[in-house]
Amino acid sequence: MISKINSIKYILLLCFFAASISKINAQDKQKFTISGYVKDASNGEYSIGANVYVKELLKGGNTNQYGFYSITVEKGKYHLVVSYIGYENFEKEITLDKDTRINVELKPSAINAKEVEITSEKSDKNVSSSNVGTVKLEMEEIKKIPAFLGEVDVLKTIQLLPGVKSSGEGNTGFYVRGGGPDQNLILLDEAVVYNASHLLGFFSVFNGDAVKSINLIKGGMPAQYGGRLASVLDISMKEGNNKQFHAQGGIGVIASRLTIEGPIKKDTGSFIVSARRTYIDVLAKPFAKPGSTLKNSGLYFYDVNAKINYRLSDKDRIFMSGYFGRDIMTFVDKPAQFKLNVGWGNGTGVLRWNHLFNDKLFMNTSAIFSNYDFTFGAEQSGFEFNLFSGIKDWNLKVDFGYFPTIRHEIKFGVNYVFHTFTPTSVSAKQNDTEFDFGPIKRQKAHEAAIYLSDDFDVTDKLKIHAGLRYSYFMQIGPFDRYIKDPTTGQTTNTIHYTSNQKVKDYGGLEPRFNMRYSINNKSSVKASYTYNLQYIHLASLSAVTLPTDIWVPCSELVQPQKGAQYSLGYFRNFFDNSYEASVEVYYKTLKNQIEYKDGALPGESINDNADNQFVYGTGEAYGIELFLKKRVGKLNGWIGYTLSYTKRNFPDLNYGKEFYAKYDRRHDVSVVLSYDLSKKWTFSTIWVYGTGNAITIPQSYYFIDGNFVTEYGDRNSFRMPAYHRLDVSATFTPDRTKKIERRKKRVIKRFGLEDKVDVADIKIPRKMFKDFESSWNFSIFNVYNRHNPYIVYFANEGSVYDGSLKIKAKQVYLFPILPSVTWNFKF
Amino acid sequence: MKKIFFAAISSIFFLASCTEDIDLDITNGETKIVIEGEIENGKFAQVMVTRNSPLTQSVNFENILVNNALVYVSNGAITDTLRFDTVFSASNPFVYVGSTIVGIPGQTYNLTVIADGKTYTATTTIPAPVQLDSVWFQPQPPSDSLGFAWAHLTDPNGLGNGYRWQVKRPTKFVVFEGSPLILDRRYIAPGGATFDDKFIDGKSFDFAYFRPYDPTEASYYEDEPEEERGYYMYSDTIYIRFSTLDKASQDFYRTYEAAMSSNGNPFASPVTVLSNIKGGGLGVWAGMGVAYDTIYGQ
Repeated sequence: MISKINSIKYILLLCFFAASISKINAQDKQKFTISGYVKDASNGEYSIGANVYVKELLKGGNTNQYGFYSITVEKGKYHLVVSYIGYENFEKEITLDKDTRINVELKPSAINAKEVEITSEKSDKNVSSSNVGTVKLEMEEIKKIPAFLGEVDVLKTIQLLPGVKSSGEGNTGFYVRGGGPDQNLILLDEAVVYNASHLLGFFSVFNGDAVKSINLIKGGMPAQYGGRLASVLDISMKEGNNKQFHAQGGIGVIASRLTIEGPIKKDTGSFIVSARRTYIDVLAKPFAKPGSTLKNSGLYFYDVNAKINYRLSDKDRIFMSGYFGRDIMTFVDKPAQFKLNVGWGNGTGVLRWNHLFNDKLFMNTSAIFSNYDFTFGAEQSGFEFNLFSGIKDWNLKVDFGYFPTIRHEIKFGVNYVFHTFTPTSVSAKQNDTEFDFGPIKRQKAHEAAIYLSDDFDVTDKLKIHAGLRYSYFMQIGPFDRYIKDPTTGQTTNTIHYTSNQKVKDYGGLEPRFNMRYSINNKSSVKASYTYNLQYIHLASLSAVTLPTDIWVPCSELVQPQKGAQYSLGYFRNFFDNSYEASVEVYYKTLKNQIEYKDGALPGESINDNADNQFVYGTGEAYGIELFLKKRVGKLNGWIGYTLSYTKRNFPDLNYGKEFYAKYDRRHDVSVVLSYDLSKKWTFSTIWVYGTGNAITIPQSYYFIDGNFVTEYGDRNSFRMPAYHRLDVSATFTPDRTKKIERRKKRVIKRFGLEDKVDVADIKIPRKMFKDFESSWNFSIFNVYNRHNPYIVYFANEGSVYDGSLKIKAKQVYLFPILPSVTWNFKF
Repeated sequence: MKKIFFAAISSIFFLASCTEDIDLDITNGETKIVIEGEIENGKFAQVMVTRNSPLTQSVNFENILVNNALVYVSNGAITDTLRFDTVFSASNPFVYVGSTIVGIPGQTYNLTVIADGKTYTATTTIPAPVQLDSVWFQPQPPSDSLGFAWAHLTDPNGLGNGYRWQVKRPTKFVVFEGSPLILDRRYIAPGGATFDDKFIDGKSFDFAYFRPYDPTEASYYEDEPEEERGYYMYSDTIYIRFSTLDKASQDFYRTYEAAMSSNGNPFASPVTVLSNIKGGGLGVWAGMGVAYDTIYGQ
């Protein structure tokens, strides 16, 4: 509940609002609004976060997620400037004496813009944006980084930023500033994605060809986001070229992809469809152990993204987008009569409507469906076992953006989700005997939130984001709660809740606060405080995250996770904004964290409430992140270093002693470099280093019934060997004009026309060749072939009774050195 | 069932992974006392007391055996002082054996052990034994002479019943590579021998177990033909010891078996074996309601 200190905070926030609103009303001079949409002139994609400002005032704002901007200034003559990275600046002289609509189309910069100093883009964004802890990534940057097996990957790229840690090869999920894998809100066009990984973390579900932009918020989460403690990964898909048809794709060693986009009605509506698939054979065979029967076995995934958008009028636009992806794993061992089928994946559907009430008030309404499920089927000699786990969401949200003056951007909105959880649904039979697991246990819940925030320039140097979010969660029936006797562990009582009957509810206020103070135009200080509540949780049983991890909601036993984060950062640009540097520190306290109790085994929660197996505790995380980035020139890239600590304290685990979280990573280093040798060749390399995960290891052995039993030491008190790896890649883009020249020469020679005709005389309709581009990508993953441990475990070999007993430490590693080739095309 | 689950997940990864030995820098834990005790209906208590063995050292039997402990069993009325003796049919032949208290179903028994200067206590109850309806040998196709031991059980209504299956064939002496061996010396539990009635409450059904091997006689099994491993012959006589256990003993054996099955499994999280010994000891004090059965060889 709200304590006295919290009440004071809320009063302060309300004062901010009151002060800002009164300031608005205090103005007497006549003001008018310039507003409109900013788009890419070549394909009609609207620009997110483009800088729109009035040159004379050096004040303005950014376009929102739909490319809309609105600036209100006093009557007068101005130059309106729009800048955005990768595009030429747009400038227009205007006489402002009434509300004006100016839609802007930005021209992409020439290809070798990198050699020229970037004057477009308010390039001190690193210093001037108020969002401490927010990183915006452009797809162009991501495409240059060496891709794992030739596939450009969004998740792998964000893991190269300080503060974001990969969970290691083969693990789904990622960790941000000491938070767990379930504490990241992953959004794809506003739909929540519950498991963003394919093939157990080797690839993400995001097809690089279909993604427009990525926003990662690791601190200072603004009020319009909620429901997760650690971070927001907000991914926007491309709309599709609304001027011309285009296709692009790639054929690689492991996977292939194709994207087709084009207009439905020129400049008004467009569509985009992307698909990807990996190949079974190629995956299974090279890695198969000699002699194993993999004829009917395989591991593959596919995914499809589709989107349509249409501009109904000057004020209205609608969007429809969907994603469907699936991972399939099959394994057959004929001699042992063993068959295995595992599948998992996400499906999302989003319908959105943008509406402009007037030049200052923008609204977006979204209706969203999101589904994640996991199915497992195994069969051996007449014994069959099937398991299903899933989560299904129906979501409705309305978001408003209000631009009253040039100093303020007010956001408010409402979000409602109806969740259906199926933590574990099991069936099994032995020949004809069906085992009784009881009825399928589903849990249903309502989750809702309402928020209000203001981004405002208090002074020329000080900018603040102040927001307040109220969130609410209620679990409803039908539901059965099994009350357990603490000593016998047997169910003594069952409480039955009928349909729509309230089981338990929770709610709370989440204040958010961000500020940026510009010391000068080269450096700034940013700080933030946020308080978040999380109502759904991922329960992970093993030392690695697997698709079998289940999502569970809050209940009478499981309280909402609570997280408070404080962060402070110093940002500085050097050498005329060509270098960006920052130092950030953060501190987080976490309450109501969940772990499985000692002795919990998979299958125990079948026919029982999953949360009867949990224990609860608190967590603490803090660290410092250093970052240096070179943005321009032939050689560019970045270096990031994070020093961090993540601790947990559970009365029921580790004898009540504090222990490190398994993903506590003391040191994390990323070096990313890319070199544009010429128009044809680009080279890039990455090197990553991370302290090993914390694991629990055996300390002694004892005898029971003639067998050796392991006694384990303190929880997570041992470190796996460090993870480090070097990747390199080279991209070759052939010059088509030279190729055309050579072809013309060959034609001339063939017809013996060397004396009569010159190469330049042959005119080929440009549209036949102009748009086809292709490139070859060669990459090597793990160049020095380090066997990075995926899991470390201990195995007994031999027998004590004949003196041959040995206890061996072993590790499983996944990837040795892996070269790959991909051919990418675009037309 | 759980084993298939784990085995399946681990097999997936061996599609695309490699395993190798590594060197790690590990420190040893403290020395603890291990108590493995049981009291069966109609028999005296038997308790084995040993010490744990540090990880990095090879096992030294002289170090782990505790032969000077004081072991007492009490039923609330009288106290039985167990004496150190050798029992041929125990997993560890050096056992503390009772002489005055005989196990009775429904009774609660308290154990006290004083070893290495510390005191450990535990409590257990012997549940009512449950007799199997029938037991038989059934050949497993494609063979008609090799098969498993089958049984038919009707679980009494009411959740909370837990069982443990142990088997032995008639004991015989063999000479193997010049050394005398005793096979089957004792009752052995196969993997998954302990189960409860969570999914089978009140039901009547068939189940089977493969032939387990005795780790204390491991060297013999290396010579056994591969096709016969885990199978019984139709000519084998099989003695079945089917026991009921109270909740704490079920928890111990269940987690002990999970620890056994996860040995060598890279995906297993460290299994905490839930002991019912108080005072910092490891192990179990189990009251067992035993019903014996025999499958006669042809």
